[in-house]
Amino acid sequence: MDNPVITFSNISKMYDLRLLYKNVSFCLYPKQTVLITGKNGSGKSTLLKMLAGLTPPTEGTITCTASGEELGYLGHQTFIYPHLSAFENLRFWTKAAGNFSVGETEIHAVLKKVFLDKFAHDGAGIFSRGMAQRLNIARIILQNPKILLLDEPATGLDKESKELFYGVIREFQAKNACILWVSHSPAEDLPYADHILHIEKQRITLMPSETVQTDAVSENTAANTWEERHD
Amino acid sequence: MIKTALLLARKDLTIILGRSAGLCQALLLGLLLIFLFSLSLQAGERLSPHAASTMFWLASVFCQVLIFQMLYALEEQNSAKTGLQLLPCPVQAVWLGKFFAGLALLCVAQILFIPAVFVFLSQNLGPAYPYALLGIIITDLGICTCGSLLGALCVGQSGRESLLSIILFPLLIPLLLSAISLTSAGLLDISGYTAETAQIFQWLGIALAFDMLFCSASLILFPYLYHGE
Repeated sequence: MDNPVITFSNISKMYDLRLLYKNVSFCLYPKQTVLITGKNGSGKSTLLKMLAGLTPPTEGTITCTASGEELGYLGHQTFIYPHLSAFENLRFWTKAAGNFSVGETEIHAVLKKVFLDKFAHDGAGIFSRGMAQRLNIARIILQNPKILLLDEPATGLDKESKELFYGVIREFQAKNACILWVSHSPAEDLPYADHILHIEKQRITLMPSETVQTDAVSENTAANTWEERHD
Repeated sequence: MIKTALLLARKDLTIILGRSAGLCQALLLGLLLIFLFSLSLQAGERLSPHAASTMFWLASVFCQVLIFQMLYALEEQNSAKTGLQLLPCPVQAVWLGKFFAGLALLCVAQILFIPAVFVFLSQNLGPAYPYALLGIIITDLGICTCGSLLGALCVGQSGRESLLSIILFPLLIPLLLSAISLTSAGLLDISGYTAETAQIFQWLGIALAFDMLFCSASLILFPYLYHGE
């Protein structure tokens, strides 16, 4: 088996005065796509933020074998500068992520892939939510990370954009990336995941997704169903 | 880190110079300050070099406050600040990038303010002007170092913008005192090595010392301020 890319060791996290998790440990491996589920406020996004280094754990250690360039973050916030064009936004974020050699052809090819080639030199400020998120997806395609952190990235996307997003997920899976995915609609996203990480009552449970029936999954209840079937 | 900082500075300058509204506001404020003060002079009256130098630095520092508010406000939309925090380089690259962009914009502003001081405040160039230029460069480095640090603290929630002026001005007082003395030396008729020239070197030393102090403090404190810890 591959070595773990992410290791959480005895992690506890306080958010303001609320305890989110207590003494949790788990490992994640390359090629895994892990759907993170749990109720609102259970700490799903905080888990990703801890991994991304945006907030430290209160106790315990997080070990990540990937370098900063190999860690990608795609959330519902797009990081877009409205006064720059789509092309300029992509060029800036790709270079800032460490890929200083990115060429114009490469950027235009990715813009075409996300159906924004006609808007390449338009100010990103005029983009709709869906277009802005497609530009955000283009950013992550160019970055090509080995660990991909997704924080409800499909929120507010139309059918076409969602298909594009799922296609990109399949591409990253084919490249053996490790994907951690906080999902807004677990029932819809479950077919793309091979594991579920459920947060409940300050505990984290990691389980294979095939043990959960897709049709039995409703929002944030996937893991509950699994637990009921295995009790 | 330097490469990322330059990339950030280029991006900031593209946005600010392309949009231009914010920068115009800062430039007009400075020019207006110098012009309005000139109205207090009688016809043919010449303002003392020290007072003229004070007006120049007052205009520069007001302009600098607006510049750094503008620079840090760019990351407030669409959580671009989070994107910068996620970059695979030390977060000090953001501080350095804002410093470069702020310095470039402040220099542009001062290129306009310097002729305005000569025209509106009736000043003449003295033989010690190279020291004045050196003083302006050293002081610009210091106030941009400080502005880039404190700009990170003062952008975001409403009401925090005014913090920049409140915190920045007291910190800059020693640097501004030396800047005013150095700039006024460039407007005086000083020739040869005199007591005034010896004082110029003392002020240059003070300004350099404060630059180093601000730079060290910024490198240490910026990650805490930018992450909001």
